[in-house]
Amino acid sequence: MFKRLRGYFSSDLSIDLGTANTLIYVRDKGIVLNEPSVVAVQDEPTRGGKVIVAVGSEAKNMLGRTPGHITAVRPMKDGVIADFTYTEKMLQYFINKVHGNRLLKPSPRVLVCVPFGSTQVERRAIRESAEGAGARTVAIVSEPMAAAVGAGLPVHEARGSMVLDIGGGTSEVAVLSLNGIVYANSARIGGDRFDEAIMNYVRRNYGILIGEATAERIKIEIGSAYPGSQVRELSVKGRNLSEGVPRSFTLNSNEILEALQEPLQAIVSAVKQALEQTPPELGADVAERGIVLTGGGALLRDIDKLLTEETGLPVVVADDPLTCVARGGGRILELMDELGPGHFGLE
Amino acid sequence: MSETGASARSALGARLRTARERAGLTLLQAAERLHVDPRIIEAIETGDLETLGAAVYARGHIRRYAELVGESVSEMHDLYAASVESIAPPDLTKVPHAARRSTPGALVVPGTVLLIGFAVVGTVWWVLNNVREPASAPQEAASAASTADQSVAVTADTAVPGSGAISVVADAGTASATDVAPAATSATTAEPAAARTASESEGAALASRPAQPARPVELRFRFAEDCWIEVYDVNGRQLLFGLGMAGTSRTARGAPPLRVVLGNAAGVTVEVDGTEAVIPRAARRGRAARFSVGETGELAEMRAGPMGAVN
Repeated sequence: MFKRLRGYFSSDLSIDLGTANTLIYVRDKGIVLNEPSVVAVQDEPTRGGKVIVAVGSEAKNMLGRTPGHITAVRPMKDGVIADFTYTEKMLQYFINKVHGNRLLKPSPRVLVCVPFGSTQVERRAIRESAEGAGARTVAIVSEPMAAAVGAGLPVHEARGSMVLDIGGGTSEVAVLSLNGIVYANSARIGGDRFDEAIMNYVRRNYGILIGEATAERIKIEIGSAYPGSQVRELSVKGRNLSEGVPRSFTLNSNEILEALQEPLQAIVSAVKQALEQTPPELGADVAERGIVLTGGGALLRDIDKLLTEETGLPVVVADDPLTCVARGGGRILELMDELGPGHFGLE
Repeated sequence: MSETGASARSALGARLRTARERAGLTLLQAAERLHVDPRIIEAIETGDLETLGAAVYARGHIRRYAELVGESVSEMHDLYAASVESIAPPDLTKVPHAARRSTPGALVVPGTVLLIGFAVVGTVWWVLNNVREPASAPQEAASAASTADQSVAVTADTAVPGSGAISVVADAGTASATDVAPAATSATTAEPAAARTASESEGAALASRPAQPARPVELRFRFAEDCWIEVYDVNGRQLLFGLGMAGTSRTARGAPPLRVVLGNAAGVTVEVDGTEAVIPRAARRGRAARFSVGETGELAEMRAGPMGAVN
């Protein structure tokens, strides 16, 4: 009852609760929050256990750099909740941050985007944590659907559109037509797996241990998915495993390309599998127009080229691929009122 | 399509074609390198951008083509943006769908109307209630005032002869008749006494609401033991309140029914208008007794609380 009343003073939110980043789109305002999905907690037995000290980018800076009494955790893993309590706290923090300092506790209508491959249990966990964070009603939509709408694909047409969303934890490929998903496939491979592959490669070939943050920096600065004409280099520091002291060394983009082969091939095979499973009429539409890439993974250099060469189809990267899912969710929220809840595979 | 839009389209197509020819590629070769249908390259070069479909495809194909032939991607995108100012993003609402369900937003208007309706009804009810009460209050006040006037008038008329002062005052229904008793014995003091009684009776009449003229009842309490005693008249006025000491007696006179509370009923004998009365057994609770004295002088048990409220 009071939630409903407070709801009139809250804006509708679309939340892309991603493994790496959480984005919030507020209706009529656009993307208002884009922060890493990281929570730092501190042990305080006097105040009943654990207290949150930082959320978002502040907490991300603490990752791997915390003393014993502080833990920086990523409560989402592979696109789903790994730690329910922290996820709820994080959502609560973000929702309050979006609403600013108001007299009334916000109680917005919330649309959360979840991976297509998530199970009912995982969806329920996300729904409950959003409700626990103060949401009045929670609608759940599949990430590829939101990504396609956010990228501006004509999903309402009776024509096939294919979208590949490479997130932090999962990659989702889907063929859509008439505001619905015809076929979708989710691989639990994403930006995190790229970082992991780089860490493993460096340890194996250089005998040097690097952290997650360094691996991510390497990926962003010199990572590429397809051999290019120029070779970029980057000097990084890590702990030499045999000597046990920090050492500096230089990596080039070809090495990173080699390191990323395994996760990239997994994504390519997911796309190929989707093309195999797509009904022929829709497959023909996809072949003519191409595959649209969204998500943070689409920012990996030349990943469109790799997919073009591997599939033989045109692959285009959407504008501002990082925010596609959140923007699409926001658009779906608006359309939900116009079309009714029976579209976009809403739950 | 606007003039600038058309020129931007042709500029976009011409620059890309020039760049392709400079790179020594035929249209088919370019299409093959990009893995796209040659129609798409042709459409870009001729400015037929609608063939490309949604903006996301058009921008994507233009970017890839520009990268292939070595043109500036950002300039091509600017030209594209200028040429398609009229192309709206896909309108996803154009889907055949059944009649719309009612949405929470649609409830706002009826909800507000209902709230306003409740507010109006509430205000009307409140106003009516508040008008009715003052209307009844003046009536009572008026009747009380008229009774007081009567009693004053009667007292004034009869006080002059000095004889029937007591009876007249008693008829007026005052409870302070005990004060008047000594006045009756002397004619010289009758006049001030009557005046005082008149003023007191006026006050009593104003304070008393029903002002039902009734014959006053005189109660006399003889205390064999110490006993707490409280006596109230019909209007709730306190006639006696205190401790009666053993061996003394006290008298109360007032309009019946009188309410009496005795703390130690066993040690008191009650006389009503000079005749001894028996406290009914039902009125006793332990040592205490609560009873009322009616117009005819009978004692009746009283079931109300300590203050007796209304009989």
